[in-house]
Amino acid sequence: MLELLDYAFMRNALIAALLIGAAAPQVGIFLVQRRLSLIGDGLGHVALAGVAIGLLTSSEPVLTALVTAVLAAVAIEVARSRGGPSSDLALALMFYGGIAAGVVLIGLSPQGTPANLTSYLFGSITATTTTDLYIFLALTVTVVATSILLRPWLFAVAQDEEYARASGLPVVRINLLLSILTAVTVVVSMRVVGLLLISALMIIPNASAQLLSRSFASATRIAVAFGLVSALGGVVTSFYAETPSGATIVLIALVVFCVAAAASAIQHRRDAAHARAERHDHEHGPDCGHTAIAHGDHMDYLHDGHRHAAHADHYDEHAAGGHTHEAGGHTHEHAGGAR
Amino acid sequence: MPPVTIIDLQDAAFGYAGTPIVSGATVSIAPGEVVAVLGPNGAGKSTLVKGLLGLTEHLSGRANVLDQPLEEVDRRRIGYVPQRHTLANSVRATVAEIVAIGRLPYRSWWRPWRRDAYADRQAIARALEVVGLGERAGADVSALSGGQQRRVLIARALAASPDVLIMDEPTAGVDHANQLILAGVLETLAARGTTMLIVTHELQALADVITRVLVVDEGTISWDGSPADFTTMTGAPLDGHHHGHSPEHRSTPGHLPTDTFDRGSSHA
Repeated sequence: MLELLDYAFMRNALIAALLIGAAAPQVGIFLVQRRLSLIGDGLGHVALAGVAIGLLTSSEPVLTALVTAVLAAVAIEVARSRGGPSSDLALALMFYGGIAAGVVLIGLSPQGTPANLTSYLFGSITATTTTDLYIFLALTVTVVATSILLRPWLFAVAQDEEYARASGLPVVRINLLLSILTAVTVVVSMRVVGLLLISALMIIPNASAQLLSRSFASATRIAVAFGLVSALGGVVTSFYAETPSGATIVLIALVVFCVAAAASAIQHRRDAAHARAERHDHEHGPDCGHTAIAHGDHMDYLHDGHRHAAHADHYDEHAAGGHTHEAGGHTHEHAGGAR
Repeated sequence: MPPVTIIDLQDAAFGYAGTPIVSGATVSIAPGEVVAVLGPNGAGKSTLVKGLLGLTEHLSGRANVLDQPLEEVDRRRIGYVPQRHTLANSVRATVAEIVAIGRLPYRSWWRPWRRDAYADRQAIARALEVVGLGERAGADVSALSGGQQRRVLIARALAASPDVLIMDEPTAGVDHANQLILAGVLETLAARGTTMLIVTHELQALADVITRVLVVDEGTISWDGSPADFTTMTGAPLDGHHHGHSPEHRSTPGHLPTDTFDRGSSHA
């Protein structure tokens, strides 16, 4: 297995996969949250025009793609914040214009072979040069650091934009920042994943992580883990199976999604089996009059001789589940996800 | 120094894109008042209160909040409880994560190591205790009932330690049992001296908390007085001011909502 590390192009491809596997889901979760899952695709389309400009002018295609994608990201955010019935159409015009111009211009350029076009559209493990890698490293560090540092603000604005504005948060700047982070991620991903499938690595690991987590924080961590597994697994598989790396990465991400969906279905079946307390309108609390008993990490309330504990929007029966506890301050998970 | 007046409007106009929706609004609200804002849909209630939040344009007249011009006031001091649908989201988040957003205006991104993290956690825990959700801090918000989600939004506003709370329909679409719990939360807040401005169609549910009634109609404040006078004027015990809106908002005396159980849960 380690013989693939003997090839310089494979080392480059694996490092690039490591970078995008970690970065893409962290940006993507905010796109999922804002229901803009497809915006990355659009930016990928526009980035192709940037690649073409680079090939035509013999400059570094990654850099011209970066400039083009960031400009498009700013334009998208301006169009979105202006709103209006035509903003959706304006985005469509920009995206289709970008990919059409890209294909035509690459055809005109001296390096415009069909193989070259395919490698930009669908990704290729042989495409990442060492120069690319240094650029990717710098860009990824910037993207990851920014999204970690500003995560609470990105979360707040995506969660409830009106509330964020009312409490004086810089909503316009945060949205603009997310758009630019997306553009940079698109450019970092384009060599390995390809411009047509770029959004997949931002979105699919998050779709899988949503199935398995209850909090935003844990969903982000799980999505990064899935992103790394898919990107690295895709590059390795593509080496042995001689398949385009982008499509291989996306298929692996989809397999992860299916496994996560199955695991979540099993978990839900178990949850459905936990013992619910009888329905009551009363809400237990420190002053509710029912005796509170410390039970691991939470309180049980003694209600007509049985114990109620808060779970989701209802109460669970504890102790009725077949075990009783001595006071010992232990922490455990009840079967069925009861807390 | 505590503010002398919480809200002070003199011939104020609010609207969108330069067009006034509410105009000639004059009112002065003192600390500790709990004011219900009533009126038919489309009369301008939301435009008025959202104007105070800086969400609609202040077009003319005087609009002071917490003794300062609206445009200069520290927005953290004005707590906003929007309608519940703002909690609907496409990603998971826990109750504590949502309430933590209320603390965000106090944080600076360039100081991620900030030393007041402990104070933030305390404020979040206190806010959840006040609304009776201390036990559910780690729960996924989408698994909570409609009434519980309203209380999450109230806790988020409280976490910012505001001087005034502005609430948009806190009891709408909430079953009777949860309305009682919500009213209890508002009574707790009123007892602590929290000034509140509550847009509502369901005055009866909040009858014990309200100290003053404003009626907004046809783009201005058309009536201002005590709940008792409002009752005398309308000839019915506090039953809201609802001409022209949907039946589910009605809660006339003797006709309480029958859907005692809120099935807002998406817990599967």
